[in-house]
Amino acid sequence: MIADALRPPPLLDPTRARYKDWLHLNVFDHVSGVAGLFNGSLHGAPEDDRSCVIGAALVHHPAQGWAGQAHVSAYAGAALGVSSVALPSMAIVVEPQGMVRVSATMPRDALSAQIVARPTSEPLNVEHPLPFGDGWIAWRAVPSLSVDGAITLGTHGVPLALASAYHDHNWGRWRWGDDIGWEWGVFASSEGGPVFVVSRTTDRAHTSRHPAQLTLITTDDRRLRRLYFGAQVELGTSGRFEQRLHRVPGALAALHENARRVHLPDRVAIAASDGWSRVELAFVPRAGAQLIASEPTHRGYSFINELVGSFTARWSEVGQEHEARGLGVFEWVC
Amino acid sequence: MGMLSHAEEATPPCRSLGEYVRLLLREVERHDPLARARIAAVVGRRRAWITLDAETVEVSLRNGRLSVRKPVSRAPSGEGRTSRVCTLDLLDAHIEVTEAVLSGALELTGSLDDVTRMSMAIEVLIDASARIPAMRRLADDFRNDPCREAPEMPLHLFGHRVRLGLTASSAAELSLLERLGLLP
Repeated sequence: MIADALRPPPLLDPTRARYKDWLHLNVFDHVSGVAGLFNGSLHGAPEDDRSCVIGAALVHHPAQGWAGQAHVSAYAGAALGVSSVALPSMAIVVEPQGMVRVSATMPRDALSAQIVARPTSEPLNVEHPLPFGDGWIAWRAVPSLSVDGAITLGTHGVPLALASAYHDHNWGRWRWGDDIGWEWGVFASSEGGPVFVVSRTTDRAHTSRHPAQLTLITTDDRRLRRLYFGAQVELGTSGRFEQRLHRVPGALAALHENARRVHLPDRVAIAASDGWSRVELAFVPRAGAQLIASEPTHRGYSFINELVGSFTARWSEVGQEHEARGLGVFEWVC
Repeated sequence: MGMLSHAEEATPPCRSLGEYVRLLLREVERHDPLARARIAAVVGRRRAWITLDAETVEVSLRNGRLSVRKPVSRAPSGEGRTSRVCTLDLLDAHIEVTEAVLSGALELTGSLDDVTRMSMAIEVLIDASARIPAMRRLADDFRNDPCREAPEMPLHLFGHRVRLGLTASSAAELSLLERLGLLP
Protein backbone atom coordinates (compact mmCIF):
# COMPACT_ATOMS: atom_id res chain seq x y z
CA MET A 1 0.00 0.00 0.00
CA ILE A 2 1.42 3.37 -1.01
CA ALA A 3 -0.30 6.18 0.84
CA ASP A 4 -0.25 9.55 -0.84
CA ALA A 5 -2.69 12.41 -0.90
CA LEU A 6 -3.00 16.02 -1.95
CA ARG A 7 -1.92 18.25 0.93
CA PRO A 8 -4.49 21.07 1.26
CA PRO A 9 -3.52 23.67 3.87
CA PRO A 10 -4.99 23.51 7.39
CA LEU A 11 -7.75 26.06 7.99
CA LEU A 12 -5.65 28.16 10.36
CA ASP A 13 -2.53 28.07 8.21
CA PRO A 14 -1.58 31.75 7.72
CA THR A 15 0.28 30.85 4.52
CA ARG A 16 -2.65 29.06 2.86
CA ALA A 17 -2.91 31.70 0.11
CA ARG A 18 0.45 30.45 -1.17
CA TYR A 19 -0.64 26.81 -1.30
CA LYS A 20 0.61 24.82 -4.30
CA ASP A 21 0.09 21.14 -5.00
CA TRP A 22 0.36 18.97 -8.08
CA LEU A 23 0.39 15.46 -9.46
CA HIS A 24 2.67 14.84 -12.40
CA LEU A 25 3.41 12.06 -14.87
CA ASN A 26 6.09 11.90 -17.58
CA VAL A 27 5.78 9.24 -20.27
CA PHE A 28 8.60 8.19 -22.59
CA ASP A 29 7.88 5.96 -25.56
CA HIS A 30 11.21 4.50 -26.55
CA VAL A 31 9.86 3.18 -29.87
CA SER A 32 8.44 6.39 -31.37
CA GLY A 33 10.51 8.83 -29.32
CA VAL A 34 7.35 10.49 -28.02
CA ALA A 35 7.70 12.27 -24.68
CA GLY A 36 4.64 13.35 -22.72
CA LEU A 37 4.06 15.58 -19.71
CA PHE A 38 0.79 15.43 -17.78
CA ASN A 39 0.17 17.62 -14.76
CA GLY A 40 -2.81 18.52 -12.60
CA SER A 41 -2.06 21.39 -10.22
CA LEU A 42 -3.71 23.52 -7.54
CA HIS A 43 -2.75 27.15 -6.93
CA GLY A 44 -4.00 29.11 -3.92
CA ALA A 45 -6.30 28.58 -0.96
CA PRO A 46 -9.26 26.35 -1.85
CA GLU A 47 -11.86 28.79 -0.49
CA ASP A 48 -10.56 31.76 -2.52
CA ASP A 49 -12.51 32.31 -5.76
CA ARG A 50 -9.35 33.59 -7.42
CA SER A 51 -7.47 30.33 -6.83
CA CYS A 52 -7.14 28.06 -9.81
CA VAL A 53 -6.63 24.53 -11.04
CA ILE A 54 -4.50 23.90 -14.12
CA GLY A 55 -4.63 20.75 -16.21
CA ALA A 56 -1.70 20.49 -18.59
CA ALA A 57 -1.05 17.80 -21.18
CA LEU A 58 1.86 18.38 -23.54
CA VAL A 59 3.25 15.72 -25.84
CA HIS A 60 6.18 16.02 -28.21
CA HIS A 61 6.60 13.84 -31.29
CA PRO A 62 10.13 13.90 -32.76
CA ALA A 63 8.90 14.51 -36.31
CA GLN A 64 5.61 16.34 -35.81
CA GLY A 65 6.23 18.64 -32.87
CA TRP A 66 4.04 19.54 -29.93
CA ALA A 67 0.41 18.75 -29.26
CA GLY A 68 -1.59 19.61 -26.17
CA GLN A 69 -2.62 22.49 -24.01
CA ALA A 70 -2.91 23.86 -20.47
CA HIS A 71 -6.43 24.62 -19.28
CA VAL A 72 -7.06 26.93 -16.32
CA SER A 73 -10.18 26.65 -14.18
CA ALA A 74 -11.53 27.84 -10.84
CA TYR A 75 -11.64 25.18 -8.11
CA ALA A 76 -15.40 25.04 -8.66
CA GLY A 77 -14.81 23.81 -12.21
CA ALA A 78 -12.63 20.89 -11.10
CA ALA A 79 -13.22 17.60 -9.33
CA LEU A 80 -10.65 17.01 -6.60
CA GLY A 81 -10.25 13.77 -4.73
CA VAL A 82 -7.91 12.53 -2.03
CA SER A 83 -5.24 12.07 -4.65
CA SER A 84 -6.74 13.20 -7.92
CA VAL A 85 -7.17 16.35 -9.98
CA ALA A 86 -9.74 16.35 -12.77
CA LEU A 87 -10.81 18.96 -15.28
CA PRO A 88 -13.11 18.26 -18.23
CA SER A 89 -10.11 18.07 -20.56
CA MET A 90 -7.52 16.38 -18.36
CA ALA A 91 -7.42 14.22 -15.23
CA ILE A 92 -4.73 12.51 -13.17
CA VAL A 93 -5.45 10.04 -10.39
CA VAL A 94 -3.01 8.29 -8.05
CA GLU A 95 -4.63 5.17 -6.64
CA PRO A 96 -3.86 3.81 -3.14
CA GLN A 97 -1.66 1.03 -4.57
CA GLY A 98 0.37 3.61 -6.43
CA MET A 99 -1.10 3.14 -9.90
CA VAL A 100 -1.31 6.43 -11.82
CA ARG A 101 -4.10 6.98 -14.33
CA VAL A 102 -4.15 9.87 -16.79
CA SER A 103 -6.84 10.92 -19.23
CA ALA A 104 -6.58 13.82 -21.66
CA THR A 105 -9.14 14.93 -24.25
CA MET A 106 -8.02 17.97 -26.20
CA PRO A 107 -9.32 17.62 -29.76
CA ARG A 108 -8.59 21.24 -30.77
CA ASP A 109 -5.02 20.66 -29.68
CA ALA A 110 -4.63 17.34 -31.51
CA LEU A 111 -4.21 15.29 -28.34
CA SER A 112 -6.00 12.54 -26.51
CA ALA A 113 -4.47 10.07 -24.07
CA GLN A 114 -5.52 7.21 -21.84
CA ILE A 115 -2.65 6.01 -19.70
CA VAL A 116 -2.27 3.58 -16.82
CA ALA A 117 1.15 3.54 -15.14
CA ARG A 118 2.20 0.95 -12.55
CA PRO A 119 5.17 1.46 -10.19
CA THR A 120 8.25 -0.64 -10.89
CA SER A 121 10.35 1.10 -8.26
CA GLU A 122 9.94 2.15 -4.67
CA PRO A 123 9.01 5.80 -4.05
CA LEU A 124 11.63 8.44 -3.46
CA ASN A 125 10.51 10.62 -0.54
CA VAL A 126 11.67 14.16 0.11
CA GLU A 127 8.65 14.90 2.27
CA HIS A 128 10.43 17.15 4.74
CA PRO A 129 9.96 20.74 3.55
CA LEU A 130 12.91 22.33 1.80
CA PRO A 131 13.33 26.12 2.00
CA PHE A 132 12.07 27.68 -1.21
CA GLY A 133 11.93 31.46 -1.61
CA ASP A 134 9.89 32.79 1.31
CA GLY A 135 8.23 29.42 1.68
CA TRP A 136 8.97 25.75 1.23
CA ILE A 137 8.59 22.84 -1.14
CA ALA A 138 8.27 19.10 -0.56
CA TRP A 139 7.97 16.25 -2.98
CA ARG A 140 7.57 12.57 -3.44
CA ALA A 141 8.43 10.64 -6.58
CA VAL A 142 8.02 7.21 -8.08
CA PRO A 143 10.93 7.21 -10.54
CA SER A 144 9.96 4.22 -12.63
CA LEU A 145 6.59 2.94 -13.80
CA SER A 146 5.50 0.62 -16.57
CA VAL A 147 2.85 1.92 -18.93
CA ASP A 148 -0.29 0.69 -20.66
CA GLY A 149 -2.55 2.73 -22.90
CA ALA A 150 -2.11 5.00 -25.87
CA ILE A 151 -1.60 8.58 -26.88
CA THR A 152 -3.34 9.84 -30.01
CA LEU A 153 -1.78 12.80 -31.82
CA GLY A 154 -4.25 14.05 -34.38
CA THR A 155 -5.27 10.77 -35.97
CA HIS A 156 -1.95 9.07 -35.26
CA GLY A 157 -2.03 6.54 -32.42
CA VAL A 158 1.06 5.93 -30.32
CA PRO A 159 0.84 2.63 -28.40
CA LEU A 160 2.66 2.73 -25.10
CA ALA A 161 3.32 -0.93 -24.35
CA LEU A 162 7.10 -0.40 -24.49
CA ALA A 163 7.03 3.02 -22.82
CA SER A 164 8.19 3.90 -19.33
CA ALA A 165 7.03 6.63 -16.98
CA TYR A 166 7.99 8.78 -14.01
CA HIS A 167 5.55 10.19 -11.44
CA ASP A 168 5.91 12.84 -8.79
CA HIS A 169 3.82 14.82 -6.37
CA ASN A 170 4.96 18.29 -5.29
CA TRP A 171 3.42 20.59 -2.71
CA GLY A 172 4.36 23.60 -0.63
CA ARG A 173 3.93 27.31 -0.11
CA TRP A 174 5.39 29.89 -2.47
CA ARG A 175 4.31 32.56 -4.89
CA TRP A 176 4.91 32.40 -8.60
CA GLY A 177 6.98 35.36 -9.65
CA ASP A 178 9.07 35.44 -6.47
CA ASP A 179 12.82 35.01 -6.61
CA ILE A 180 12.56 31.25 -7.04
CA GLY A 181 13.52 28.64 -9.58
CA TRP A 182 14.61 25.06 -9.95
CA GLU A 183 16.37 22.66 -12.26
CA TRP A 184 15.03 19.14 -12.38
CA GLY A 185 15.40 16.28 -14.80
CA VAL A 186 14.35 12.70 -15.29
CA PHE A 187 16.18 10.45 -17.73
CA ALA A 188 14.62 7.08 -18.53
CA SER A 189 16.68 4.41 -20.26
CA SER A 190 15.21 2.31 -23.01
CA GLU A 191 14.73 -1.44 -22.61
CA GLY A 192 14.12 -1.29 -18.88
CA GLY A 193 17.45 0.24 -18.00
CA PRO A 194 18.04 2.61 -15.11
CA VAL A 195 16.32 5.90 -14.39
CA PHE A 196 18.22 8.99 -13.30
CA VAL A 197 16.54 11.84 -11.39
CA VAL A 198 18.37 15.09 -10.70
CA SER A 199 17.14 18.22 -8.95
CA ARG A 200 18.18 21.40 -7.24
CA THR A 201 16.46 24.63 -6.22
CA THR A 202 17.77 27.96 -7.44
CA ASP A 203 16.98 31.62 -7.46
CA ARG A 204 15.08 33.04 -10.41
CA ALA A 205 18.21 33.96 -12.35
CA HIS A 206 19.81 30.56 -11.64
CA THR A 207 22.90 32.32 -10.37
CA SER A 208 22.41 31.02 -6.84
CA ARG A 209 22.08 27.25 -7.04
CA HIS A 210 21.60 24.98 -4.07
CA PRO A 211 23.40 21.63 -4.01
CA ALA A 212 22.01 19.11 -6.45
CA GLN A 213 20.81 15.61 -5.75
CA LEU A 214 21.06 12.72 -8.20
CA THR A 215 19.29 9.42 -7.77
CA LEU A 216 20.08 6.37 -9.86
CA ILE A 217 17.39 3.72 -9.82
CA THR A 218 17.64 0.33 -11.37
CA THR A 219 14.36 -1.40 -11.99
CA ASP A 220 15.48 -5.00 -11.68
CA ASP A 221 15.14 -5.17 -7.90
CA ARG A 222 12.72 -2.24 -7.41
CA ARG A 223 15.12 -0.61 -4.94
CA LEU A 224 16.96 2.66 -4.99
CA ARG A 225 20.43 1.97 -6.20
CA ARG A 226 22.44 5.09 -5.44
CA LEU A 227 21.83 8.54 -4.03
CA TYR A 228 24.38 11.26 -4.66
CA PHE A 229 24.10 14.67 -3.05
CA GLY A 230 25.97 17.82 -2.17
CA ALA A 231 29.58 17.89 -3.29
CA GLN A 232 29.19 14.46 -4.87
CA VAL A 233 27.14 15.90 -7.74
CA GLU A 234 28.06 18.34 -10.48
CA LEU A 235 25.12 19.51 -12.56
CA GLY A 236 26.33 21.63 -15.45
CA THR A 237 24.33 23.46 -18.10
CA SER A 238 25.78 25.15 -21.15
CA GLY A 239 24.95 26.68 -24.51
CA ARG A 240 21.69 28.29 -25.52
CA PHE A 241 18.61 26.46 -26.70
CA GLU A 242 17.45 28.45 -29.73
CA GLN A 243 14.41 26.57 -30.94
CA ARG A 244 10.94 27.99 -30.70
CA LEU A 245 9.08 27.07 -27.51
CA HIS A 246 5.50 25.79 -27.47
CA ARG A 247 4.01 28.24 -24.92
CA VAL A 248 0.80 27.85 -22.96
CA PRO A 249 -1.69 29.17 -21.92
CA GLY A 250 -2.05 31.40 -24.98
CA ALA A 251 -3.26 34.53 -23.19
CA LEU A 252 -0.26 34.55 -20.86
CA ALA A 253 2.09 33.77 -23.75
CA ALA A 254 0.69 36.90 -25.46
CA LEU A 255 1.28 38.91 -22.30
CA HIS A 256 4.87 37.72 -21.98
CA GLU A 257 6.16 37.91 -25.54
CA ASN A 258 9.69 38.54 -24.26
CA ALA A 259 9.74 35.22 -22.38
CA ARG A 260 9.75 33.26 -25.64
CA ARG A 261 13.47 33.93 -25.78
CA VAL A 262 14.28 32.95 -22.22
CA HIS A 263 17.85 31.69 -21.86
CA LEU A 264 17.72 27.88 -21.68
CA PRO A 265 20.64 25.47 -21.98
CA ASP A 266 21.15 23.26 -25.02
CA ARG A 267 23.30 20.80 -23.13
CA VAL A 268 23.11 19.29 -19.65
CA ALA A 269 26.00 17.36 -18.14
CA ILE A 270 25.85 15.52 -14.85
CA ALA A 271 28.77 13.92 -13.06
CA ALA A 272 28.48 12.23 -9.68
CA SER A 273 30.74 10.10 -7.54
CA ASP A 274 30.58 8.86 -3.98
CA GLY A 275 33.93 7.12 -4.00
CA TRP A 276 32.37 3.73 -4.67
CA SER A 277 30.50 4.42 -7.85
CA ARG A 278 30.44 7.04 -10.55
CA VAL A 279 27.86 8.42 -13.02
CA GLU A 280 28.33 10.56 -16.11
CA LEU A 281 25.26 11.64 -18.03
CA ALA A 282 24.85 13.95 -21.05
CA PHE A 283 21.44 15.25 -22.16
CA VAL A 284 20.71 17.10 -25.40
CA PRO A 285 17.26 18.69 -25.79
CA ARG A 286 15.42 18.48 -29.11
CA ALA A 287 12.35 20.63 -28.28
CA GLY A 288 10.96 22.85 -25.59
CA ALA A 289 7.67 23.98 -24.11
CA GLN A 290 6.89 26.73 -21.65
CA LEU A 291 4.07 26.64 -19.12
CA ILE A 292 3.42 30.10 -17.72
CA ALA A 293 2.19 30.02 -14.12
CA SER A 294 0.46 33.06 -12.64
CA GLU A 295 -0.06 33.73 -8.95
CA PRO A 296 -3.83 33.89 -8.39
CA THR A 297 -3.89 36.63 -5.74
CA HIS A 298 -0.74 38.53 -6.50
CA ARG A 299 0.77 39.97 -9.66
CA GLY A 300 3.52 37.47 -10.37
CA TYR A 301 4.50 34.97 -13.05
CA SER A 302 6.95 32.13 -13.33
CA PHE A 303 8.03 30.25 -16.44
CA ILE A 304 8.20 26.46 -16.29
CA ASN A 305 10.32 25.43 -19.26
CA GLU A 306 10.30 21.79 -20.30
CA LEU A 307 13.11 20.55 -22.54
CA VAL A 308 12.64 17.08 -24.02
CA GLY A 309 15.43 15.14 -25.67
CA SER A 310 17.76 12.20 -25.45
CA PHE A 311 20.62 11.24 -23.15
CA THR A 312 23.54 8.89 -22.86
CA ALA A 313 24.96 7.74 -19.55
CA ARG A 314 27.84 5.70 -18.21
CA TRP A 315 28.20 4.53 -14.66
CA SER A 316 30.56 2.26 -12.86
CA GLU A 317 30.21 0.30 -9.69
CA VAL A 318 32.68 -2.03 -8.05
CA GLY A 319 34.75 -2.00 -11.19
CA GLN A 320 31.87 -2.82 -13.52
CA GLU A 321 31.10 -0.38 -16.30
CA HIS A 322 27.55 0.16 -17.61
CA GLU A 323 26.05 2.26 -20.36
CA ALA A 324 22.54 3.47 -21.04
CA ARG A 325 20.67 5.75 -23.40
CA GLY A 326 17.11 6.88 -23.64
CA LEU A 327 14.73 9.83 -23.39
CA GLY A 328 14.56 12.57 -20.83
CA VAL A 329 13.01 15.84 -19.69
CA PHE A 330 14.94 18.69 -18.15
CA GLU A 331 12.87 21.37 -16.44
CA TRP A 332 14.13 24.90 -15.93
CA VAL A 333 11.91 27.16 -13.85
CA CYS A 334 12.55 30.89 -13.72
CA MET B 1 -9.76 17.43 0.36
CA GLY B 2 -13.43 16.96 -0.30
CA MET B 3 -14.87 16.15 -3.65
CA LEU B 4 -16.07 19.11 -5.61
CA SER B 5 -18.61 18.66 -8.32
CA HIS B 6 -18.05 19.89 -11.84
CA ALA B 7 -19.67 23.22 -12.52
CA GLU B 8 -22.63 22.93 -14.82
CA GLU B 9 -21.62 23.93 -18.30
CA ALA B 10 -24.58 26.02 -19.45
CA THR B 11 -24.77 27.33 -22.99
CA PRO B 12 -23.63 30.94 -22.90
CA PRO B 13 -25.83 33.70 -24.36
CA CYS B 14 -25.31 35.29 -27.75
CA ARG B 15 -23.36 38.50 -27.24
CA SER B 16 -22.24 41.29 -29.50
CA LEU B 17 -18.67 42.58 -29.56
CA GLY B 18 -19.84 45.65 -27.66
CA GLU B 19 -21.33 43.48 -24.92
CA TYR B 20 -18.08 41.52 -24.54
CA VAL B 21 -16.07 44.75 -24.29
CA ARG B 22 -18.46 46.19 -21.68
CA LEU B 23 -18.40 42.97 -19.63
CA LEU B 24 -14.60 42.74 -19.73
CA LEU B 25 -14.21 46.27 -18.43
CA ARG B 26 -16.96 45.76 -15.86
CA GLU B 27 -15.22 42.69 -14.42
CA VAL B 28 -11.92 44.54 -14.24
CA GLU B 29 -13.61 47.44 -12.44
CA ARG B 30 -15.33 45.08 -10.01
CA HIS B 31 -12.35 42.87 -9.16
CA ASP B 32 -9.28 45.00 -9.82
CA PRO B 33 -10.05 48.73 -9.60
CA LEU B 34 -6.35 49.55 -9.78
CA ALA B 35 -6.08 47.83 -13.16
CA ARG B 36 -9.15 49.76 -14.33
CA ALA B 37 -7.49 52.98 -13.19
CA ARG B 38 -4.30 52.05 -15.04
CA ILE B 39 -6.26 51.50 -18.24
CA ALA B 40 -7.98 54.87 -17.83
CA ALA B 41 -4.64 56.58 -17.22
CA VAL B 42 -3.07 54.92 -20.26
CA VAL B 43 -5.82 55.71 -22.78
CA GLY B 44 -6.79 59.14 -21.45
CA ARG B 45 -9.29 60.83 -23.76
CA ARG B 46 -8.49 58.70 -26.78
CA ARG B 47 -11.16 56.87 -28.79
CA ALA B 48 -10.39 53.50 -30.36
CA TRP B 49 -12.26 51.54 -32.97
CA ILE B 50 -12.18 47.84 -32.29
CA THR B 51 -13.10 45.52 -35.16
CA LEU B 52 -13.75 41.81 -34.87
CA ASP B 53 -14.59 40.39 -38.29
CA ALA B 54 -17.61 42.45 -39.44
CA GLU B 55 -18.36 44.09 -36.06
CA THR B 56 -16.86 47.44 -35.09
CA VAL B 57 -17.33 49.41 -31.90
CA GLU B 58 -15.90 52.67 -30.67
CA VAL B 59 -14.47 52.48 -27.16
CA SER B 60 -13.47 55.36 -24.93
CA LEU B 61 -13.22 56.22 -21.27
CA ARG B 62 -14.69 59.74 -21.09
CA ASN B 63 -13.99 61.21 -17.66
CA GLY B 64 -13.26 57.68 -16.54
CA ARG B 65 -16.67 56.37 -17.68
CA LEU B 66 -16.72 53.59 -20.24
CA SER B 67 -18.43 54.33 -23.55
CA VAL B 68 -18.95 51.56 -26.10
CA ARG B 69 -20.98 52.61 -29.14
CA LYS B 70 -21.22 52.42 -32.89
CA PRO B 71 -18.36 54.26 -34.57
CA VAL B 72 -19.00 57.87 -35.43
CA SER B 73 -17.68 59.37 -38.60
CA ARG B 74 -14.86 61.25 -36.90
CA ALA B 75 -11.59 59.32 -37.19
CA PRO B 76 -10.52 57.51 -34.00
CA SER B 77 -7.22 57.90 -32.19
CA GLY B 78 -6.35 54.36 -33.17
CA GLU B 79 -7.85 51.17 -34.50
CA GLY B 80 -7.48 47.52 -33.61
CA ARG B 81 -8.65 44.91 -36.07
CA THR B 82 -8.68 41.13 -35.80
CA SER B 83 -10.90 38.08 -36.27
CA ARG B 84 -12.58 35.48 -34.10
CA VAL B 85 -10.28 32.83 -35.59
CA CYS B 86 -7.18 34.83 -34.68
CA THR B 87 -8.48 35.58 -31.19
CA LEU B 88 -9.12 31.91 -30.48
CA ASP B 89 -5.77 30.93 -31.99
CA LEU B 90 -4.05 33.37 -29.64
CA LEU B 91 -6.01 32.07 -26.63
CA ASP B 92 -5.12 28.49 -27.61
CA ALA B 93 -1.44 29.29 -28.20
CA HIS B 94 -1.68 28.16 -31.82
CA ILE B 95 -0.03 31.40 -32.83
CA GLU B 96 1.87 34.08 -30.96
CA VAL B 97 1.24 37.81 -31.10
CA THR B 98 4.26 38.47 -33.32
CA GLU B 99 3.01 35.95 -35.87
CA ALA B 100 -0.49 37.41 -35.75
CA VAL B 101 0.84 40.90 -36.44
CA LEU B 102 3.26 39.81 -39.15
CA SER B 103 0.61 37.76 -40.92
CA GLY B 104 -1.87 40.62 -40.85
CA ALA B 105 -4.31 38.69 -38.66
CA LEU B 106 -3.95 41.35 -35.96
CA GLU B 107 -3.64 45.01 -36.89
CA LEU B 108 -3.14 48.01 -34.67
CA THR B 109 -3.09 51.32 -36.52
CA GLY B 110 -2.59 54.90 -35.40
CA SER B 111 0.29 57.07 -34.33
CA LEU B 112 3.15 55.37 -32.50
CA ASP B 113 1.90 56.79 -29.21
CA ASP B 114 -1.69 55.69 -29.83
CA VAL B 115 -0.66 52.16 -30.84
CA THR B 116 1.63 51.88 -27.82
CA ARG B 117 -1.18 52.95 -25.51
CA MET B 118 -3.63 50.49 -27.07
CA SER B 119 -1.09 47.71 -26.55
CA MET B 120 -0.57 48.76 -22.94
CA ALA B 121 -4.31 48.77 -22.24
CA ILE B 122 -4.60 45.26 -23.71
CA GLU B 123 -1.67 44.08 -21.57
CA VAL B 124 -3.29 45.42 -18.40
CA LEU B 125 -6.51 43.60 -19.35
CA ILE B 126 -4.76 40.28 -19.95
CA ASP B 127 -2.67 40.63 -16.79
CA ALA B 128 -5.82 41.29 -14.73
CA SER B 129 -7.57 38.31 -16.31
CA ALA B 130 -4.98 35.98 -14.75
CA ARG B 131 -6.46 36.84 -11.34
CA ILE B 132 -10.13 37.32 -12.30
CA PRO B 133 -11.95 34.03 -12.95
CA ALA B 134 -14.97 35.90 -14.36
CA MET B 135 -12.80 37.14 -17.23
CA ARG B 136 -11.68 33.59 -17.99
CA ARG B 137 -15.35 32.59 -18.05
CA LEU B 138 -16.01 35.39 -20.54
CA ALA B 139 -13.29 33.95 -22.76
CA ASP B 140 -15.02 30.56 -22.52
CA ASP B 141 -18.36 32.21 -23.33
CA PHE B 142 -16.83 33.84 -26.39
CA ARG B 143 -15.42 30.50 -27.53
CA ASN B 144 -18.80 28.80 -27.09
CA ASP B 145 -21.03 31.71 -28.15
CA PRO B 146 -23.89 29.96 -30.03
CA CYS B 147 -24.27 32.86 -32.45
CA ARG B 148 -20.65 32.67 -33.57
CA GLU B 149 -18.94 30.04 -35.66
CA ALA B 150 -17.57 27.05 -33.79
CA PRO B 151 -13.78 27.12 -33.34
CA GLU B 152 -11.97 25.61 -36.29
CA MET B 153 -10.06 22.39 -35.85
CA PRO B 154 -6.35 22.61 -36.50
CA LEU B 155 -5.57 22.18 -40.18
CA HIS B 156 -2.26 20.56 -39.43
CA LEU B 157 -1.87 17.42 -37.41
CA PHE B 158 0.28 19.22 -34.88
CA GLY B 159 1.70 22.61 -34.34
CA HIS B 160 0.64 25.83 -35.82
CA ARG B 161 -2.40 26.35 -37.96
CA VAL B 162 -1.60 29.77 -39.29
CA ARG B 163 0.98 29.86 -42.02
CA LEU B 164 2.86 33.10 -42.07
CA GLY B 165 2.09 35.46 -44.87
CA LEU B 166 4.49 38.17 -43.89
CA THR B 167 3.13 41.62 -44.59
CA ALA B 168 6.33 43.51 -43.99
CA SER B 169 6.66 45.86 -46.93
CA SER B 170 10.34 45.48 -47.71
CA ALA B 171 13.44 43.40 -47.22
CA ALA B 172 14.79 46.24 -45.09
CA GLU B 173 11.81 45.99 -42.77
CA LEU B 174 12.25 42.24 -42.44
CA SER B 175 15.95 42.73 -41.80
CA LEU B 176 15.17 45.24 -39.07
CA LEU B 177 12.65 42.90 -37.43
CA GLU B 178 15.14 40.06 -37.53
CA ARG B 179 17.91 42.19 -36.02
CA LEU B 180 15.61 43.20 -33.18
CA GLY B 181 14.70 39.58 -32.55
CA LEU B 182 11.06 40.19 -33.46
CA LEU B 183 10.65 37.52 -36.09
CA PRO B 184 9.16 34.24 -34.86
